[in-house]
Amino acid sequence: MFKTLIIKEIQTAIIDFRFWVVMLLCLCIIPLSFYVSVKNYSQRVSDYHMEVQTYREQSEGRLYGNFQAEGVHPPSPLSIFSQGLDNKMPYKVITSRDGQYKIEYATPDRKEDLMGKIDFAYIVVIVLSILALVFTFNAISGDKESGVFRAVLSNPVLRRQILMAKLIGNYIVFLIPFLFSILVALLITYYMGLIPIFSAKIFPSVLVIIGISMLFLFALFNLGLWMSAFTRTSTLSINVLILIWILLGLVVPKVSPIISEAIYPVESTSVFEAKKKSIYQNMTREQANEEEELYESIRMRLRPNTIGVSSGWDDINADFDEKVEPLREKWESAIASEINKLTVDYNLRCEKQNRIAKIISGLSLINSANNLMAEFSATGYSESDNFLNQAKQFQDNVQQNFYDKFIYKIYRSKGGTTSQMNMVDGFDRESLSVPVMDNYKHVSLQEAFKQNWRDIVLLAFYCVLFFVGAFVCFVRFDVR
Amino acid sequence: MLKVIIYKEIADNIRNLRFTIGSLLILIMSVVCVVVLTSHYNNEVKEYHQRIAEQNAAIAEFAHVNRLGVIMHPNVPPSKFHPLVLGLALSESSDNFNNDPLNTLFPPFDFVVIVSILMSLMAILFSYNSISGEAEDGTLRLMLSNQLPRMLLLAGKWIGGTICIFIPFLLSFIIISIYITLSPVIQWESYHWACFALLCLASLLFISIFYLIGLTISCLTKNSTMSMLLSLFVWVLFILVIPNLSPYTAAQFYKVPSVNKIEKETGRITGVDRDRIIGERMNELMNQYSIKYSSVFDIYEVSKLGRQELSELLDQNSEAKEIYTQFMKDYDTIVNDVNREQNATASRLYEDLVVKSESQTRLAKNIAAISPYACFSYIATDITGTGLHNTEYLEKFISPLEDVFFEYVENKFMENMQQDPTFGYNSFIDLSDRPQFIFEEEPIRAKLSVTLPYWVILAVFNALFLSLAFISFRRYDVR
Repeated sequence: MFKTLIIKEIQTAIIDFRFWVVMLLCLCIIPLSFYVSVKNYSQRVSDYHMEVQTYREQSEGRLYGNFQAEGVHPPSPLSIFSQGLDNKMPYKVITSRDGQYKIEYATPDRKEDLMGKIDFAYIVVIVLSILALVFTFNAISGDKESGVFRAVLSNPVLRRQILMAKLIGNYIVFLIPFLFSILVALLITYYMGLIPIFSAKIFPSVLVIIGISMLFLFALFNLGLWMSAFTRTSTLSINVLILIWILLGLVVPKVSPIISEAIYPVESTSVFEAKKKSIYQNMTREQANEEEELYESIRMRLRPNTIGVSSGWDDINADFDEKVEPLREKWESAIASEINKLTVDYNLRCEKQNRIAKIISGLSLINSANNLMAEFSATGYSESDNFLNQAKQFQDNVQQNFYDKFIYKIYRSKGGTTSQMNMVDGFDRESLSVPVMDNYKHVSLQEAFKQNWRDIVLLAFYCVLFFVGAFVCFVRFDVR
Repeated sequence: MLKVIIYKEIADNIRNLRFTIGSLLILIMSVVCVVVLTSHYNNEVKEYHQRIAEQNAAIAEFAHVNRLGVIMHPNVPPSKFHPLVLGLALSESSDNFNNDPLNTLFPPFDFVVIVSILMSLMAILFSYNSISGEAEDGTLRLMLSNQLPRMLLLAGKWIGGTICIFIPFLLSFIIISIYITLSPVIQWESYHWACFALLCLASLLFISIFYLIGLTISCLTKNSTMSMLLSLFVWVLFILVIPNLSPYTAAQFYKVPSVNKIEKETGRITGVDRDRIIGERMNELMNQYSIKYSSVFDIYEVSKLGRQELSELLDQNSEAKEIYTQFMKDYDTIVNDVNREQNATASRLYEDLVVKSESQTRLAKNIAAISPYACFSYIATDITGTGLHNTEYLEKFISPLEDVFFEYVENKFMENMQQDPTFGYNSFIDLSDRPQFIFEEEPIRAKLSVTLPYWVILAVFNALFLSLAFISFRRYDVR
């Protein structure tokens, strides 16, 4: 009996006009979006290579102690699924001898910013979500209106069987064009040759992303059924569903950061950076003052009739080198701990704010699906953190292999400063090579799972919740 | 008769549940949007003043000719329309990335989004069953069995429905105006109110298009489910698909070399290449001098001398001094020539890039203009000075001001030079009476003329769907 019901649902869904709309739309825009995204990706890859190459060319022969090494963020091949935050990610790290490395952010393309993007995540989360609701809005209220239920329920059929059959039948019919066009899109990507989409490294993530989109669409099907069982007429049910879609897709994602900002205010990054900079400058200035005083006192003792500073005064400089060491160590550790304390504190507060926003936005499954797809495409927030971590490692590496090979001496007096840069004894400058941030690793599938399993569970929970809602409403549904 | 139909339509719509829910949603969203964006705007204004103060402090402390190029970039105040329309503003504040979670994954939320997504959906929900719904209920038969021309019926439905959809919009418009007048942060003058009125006019035109789309589709279909589906499909195409595809389509038609590449290229031309050419020409020059004046001195030897030794040598030998002065002059000419040539080549490359990317953007805009959504958002952002056109305007506005400023600096520098010959590029100049940068908004007339084609497109869409609705209703089978 159950089988008959499912087959009936599949047949009615396929002959319906909606099926062809979905088929047409999926077949047109999904392969097109992959084509466009792969082109876009190839552009970004060539930009990346160019950036690295010019950096190498420009650095040849300039490897002295103040050299600033650059590490560039390579684009993720999975970004063809979701561009996510790629336009606004941290993009480049510039190391510095004093440990205060800089992070540069990507500047988004303004053309695309005005109108938005069209990647797989956008199609699933915005376009197909409406179509999923359209597929189910009159599954129950429509059958009641046309009197089908009276006929069906006069036979010995269980209501839960009807509900299950409606859900499964419609979902299968919806998946046919969806999966078929994904297959076409993947083949197009494969034959374009840039991304080895079926390789063991990428394909598991692709499967996970497709799985997430299927889970998301399933949740929406359940939601559509619920609202269809909740309302009496199909007109009302589509109105309610569209309202819910607007709430979930537009209002919740936009309002959640605002609410979290109101609950837990944190000053903006530019304000924080200005504060950090002023503290750093004040402390270095104080350090410089102390060093100047030290130098003056030594000079007064050894060469009382001179002023200023010279790299030729070996006696003063040697004495200064010896005495300045503890002073510098003291200041360096003081500066490092101060800056570190500030940054850790700020990051903690930002993280807390983000967590509140994330919890609120978890109310919207459209938002969590969008987030999940970005995370698994290595274009989400965890990827940004990942880059920042590796940037820190890069700085440490460069410090160890490059900056530490130089001995930098600076002599400060009231009359001016002079500095010397020497190699460590016995170290050949020729053996220095341009430090490059290679072996960059994007967030792996395991890590993404570890960080985001809650969101996946949440999506599954939504499926169950909506189904239970639909079941309860349908059991009490008055078919007259 | 028309009046009766209009009254009936309005009464029908207002009693409907969707009117209450939709109006409430729109009102709440508009208020939330304007309140939140005002607080953002407040921050922006504060940061702007902070920037100006920093700049003034820097100029008071480090105003050397060498550094001014870095310090002196004009600060443009945040647009006074930011409490309503963000436009391209969000993309500029990428510094806030860490602090602004989730914002970046979804499009910004402002008045334009409320009108273009919420209001257009609502307009479609209002009209999709206005004919097909009545046909299903059988009321259409009853009405048409009276002495009622079909055109009059449709006109009544159109006018009544449009009035209904305008009511929540006008309400939210009034609330926003009250908020803006009362808010101490936003200070609008008549100019801004005029722009705001234009924005509302464009919104009304835009909403009316979607009402007419729903009406047309409902005249084309027999049942309301079908018309709902078709109207939603058209809505998805117009709002979600076509505008988003346009930049990519344009990029396929019109290839632009990447900015990075061009920047590297120009960097090479004015850096490494320049040094190489100067080196070559220098060698030639040295060769000439060493052959011509070998009797006086060896130019290779002389150029290796230190400064003090050189001046001693030149003081002793007046002929050598003359030749050496001539040599230095020639050297200067070479450097200047090569600099000029290389800069010209680089700027040609760069201008070419600018021209190409501008035409690509234009193409993308034109493709997107197939959709009324794109037209509306161009009008909204350009009228409020937050769009693509505004960046062009800013460039045009700023560059003459910069010229004036640098001319002023040069004059000041010359004055100082005359008074004190030791005055150099690294000496401090007092710039306290410098010309101030005052930003002026583009006149409304210019804004209108830029957006004129989009106004026309919106009007054409209205006319098109109105006539389509009338034609299809003429042929409508009411049985």
